[in-house]
Amino acid sequence: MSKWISNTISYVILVIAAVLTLAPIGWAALTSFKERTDILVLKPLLVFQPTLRNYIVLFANEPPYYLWHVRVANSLFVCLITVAVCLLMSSLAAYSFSRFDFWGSKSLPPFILSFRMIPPVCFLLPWYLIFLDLHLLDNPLSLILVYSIFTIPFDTWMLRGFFLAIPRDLDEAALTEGYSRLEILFKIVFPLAKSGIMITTIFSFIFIFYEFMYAVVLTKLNWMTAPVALSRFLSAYATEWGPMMAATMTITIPLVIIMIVLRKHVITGLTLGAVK
Amino acid sequence: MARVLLENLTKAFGKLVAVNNVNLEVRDKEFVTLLGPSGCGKTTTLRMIAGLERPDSGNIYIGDTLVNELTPADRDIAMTFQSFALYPHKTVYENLAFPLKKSKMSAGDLDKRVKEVAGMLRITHLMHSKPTTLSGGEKQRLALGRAIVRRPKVFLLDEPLTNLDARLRADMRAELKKLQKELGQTAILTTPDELEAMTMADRIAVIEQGELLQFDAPETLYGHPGDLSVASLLGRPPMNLIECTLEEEGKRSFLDAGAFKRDVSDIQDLVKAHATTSDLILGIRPSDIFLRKERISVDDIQSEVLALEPMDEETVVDLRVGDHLLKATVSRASSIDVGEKLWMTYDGRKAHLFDKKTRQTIS
Repeated sequence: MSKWISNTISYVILVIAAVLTLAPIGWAALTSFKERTDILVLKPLLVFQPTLRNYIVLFANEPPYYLWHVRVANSLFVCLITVAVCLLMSSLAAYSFSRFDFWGSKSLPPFILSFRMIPPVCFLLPWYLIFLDLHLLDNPLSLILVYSIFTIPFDTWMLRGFFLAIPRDLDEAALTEGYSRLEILFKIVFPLAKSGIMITTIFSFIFIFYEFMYAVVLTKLNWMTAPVALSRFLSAYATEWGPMMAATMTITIPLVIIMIVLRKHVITGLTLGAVK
Repeated sequence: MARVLLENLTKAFGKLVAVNNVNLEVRDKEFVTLLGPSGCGKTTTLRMIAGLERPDSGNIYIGDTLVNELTPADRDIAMTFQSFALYPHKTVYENLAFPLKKSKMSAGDLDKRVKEVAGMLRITHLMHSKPTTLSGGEKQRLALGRAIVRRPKVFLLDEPLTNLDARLRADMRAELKKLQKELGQTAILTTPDELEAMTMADRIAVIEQGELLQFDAPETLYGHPGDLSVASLLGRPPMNLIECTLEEEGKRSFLDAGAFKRDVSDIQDLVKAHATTSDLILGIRPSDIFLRKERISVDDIQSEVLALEPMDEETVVDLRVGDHLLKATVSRASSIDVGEKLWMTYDGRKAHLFDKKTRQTIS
């Protein structure tokens, strides 16, 4: 009897939490399909005539020239390059940390991780000035550099944990069979650490893609990223809620879909990291 | 020519000396076992031969080549690990093929070789399965297959049977031995189990705490152990060790073991030459002890049966002789009761005498 009650209570709590979490997103989704007249009403409207106008306006080549596709492309460009470069560098470091015994093999990883723990805002002004001098403002390179500095420690730490879970015996067997360390990394360790790599990639991608502070400081009009462009919807004159919600949907929903599709790996990756 | 020569091999991990000045030569096509308890340095030695650990000093030769500086890949060796080290994300076929991808074999030859090895080890029916679905014995054979498939100069096997259950171990012992003879390859195996060593090896290297104690054929090690450790290592039940002191009375010498004395005048010169002290240990194997209900000779010793341990073909009899507790083995057919008082004698020619301090054999 008590099992039945505790289960019900659990489900009730979970449903409430889910509703509270998803409600704003659901409301944003609804808003993105509403005409402006339906949005600017006193009482919230649940039944309305849906339209795709908000989405079309984002990509159209007419006023107000949102050029949303350009912004998303900018974000993706910076994101993918940073994630790829960081992953490569971090996996090399993580492999060394997890396999070899050298001075610093135990002390360096936490030290490296500590860089990630520094509030990013500390470096905002110094780096702005440096990039100003280097003429790297409104240049994707500055963003890539900054994001890499924060992503590599995180990636290294996570990947090291996942690599440690793979027995060294496999490496040694491959060594006796004539494989180099690099080949072992790509052919044996990577396939076996797939979940870990996936979750690390997703986490760093999320961090970089939705990053606002450095993006707004280090870019101007040409290389504006999606989060910055999103903030500009909220103008002093008239906030176009419809297009803004549509824009939000375009950068949120794909990620949600990916997470749902890869949920098995995500759970493996998260729990494996927890046991460490 | 695939002999392995170890010259003054030493390795230490920090303060712990794992391998201490080991000199060993394994002949071509020989099956050598490194026998010793856990942590004695046998695995470290094997790994140094493989190239997975670097020796601090000493030389390793495979064939006639000095291999100290060569990577494991260049040494033409194959190794199996205690944990089998099978690639879990590859099928059995791919596991066997993986080592060959590094050689310059054509695809057709590779396929042929893989199938050949799989057939030899009776795992052809599992070609498309993943290692996690295999039984212990099948995993073991796959690990062996991966080593065999390259036809290396030397096989190195690190405690290959430790992870198998007892029944499987017995079967695999015979199979490993047969395989090695069939392939005609030099093999070095490590094990803590003396039964494994005795049944499989052409010669056994007994290692304790990094030192090579003795390196001989199994029969030699059993019959003529050079050391107390070697003597007590081999044989089940283990050799009885009785402490005694050497006493001289005039021209004769006796071994005084408390409950009995033994005249050793005939070898007293030998004993005096080798012994550093008069505290000696007499070693008698349980199978060399005879029990009788009546006293037949003056040398017979009074003993009392404390317990009986029936085994497969023999019974182990726990005896109390004075202050000593000994074990003797008798055939199952004998009728002995607990508490019975029997007369014990032993075959003096087969007994061993050890110096208590240096633990070296005297005779």
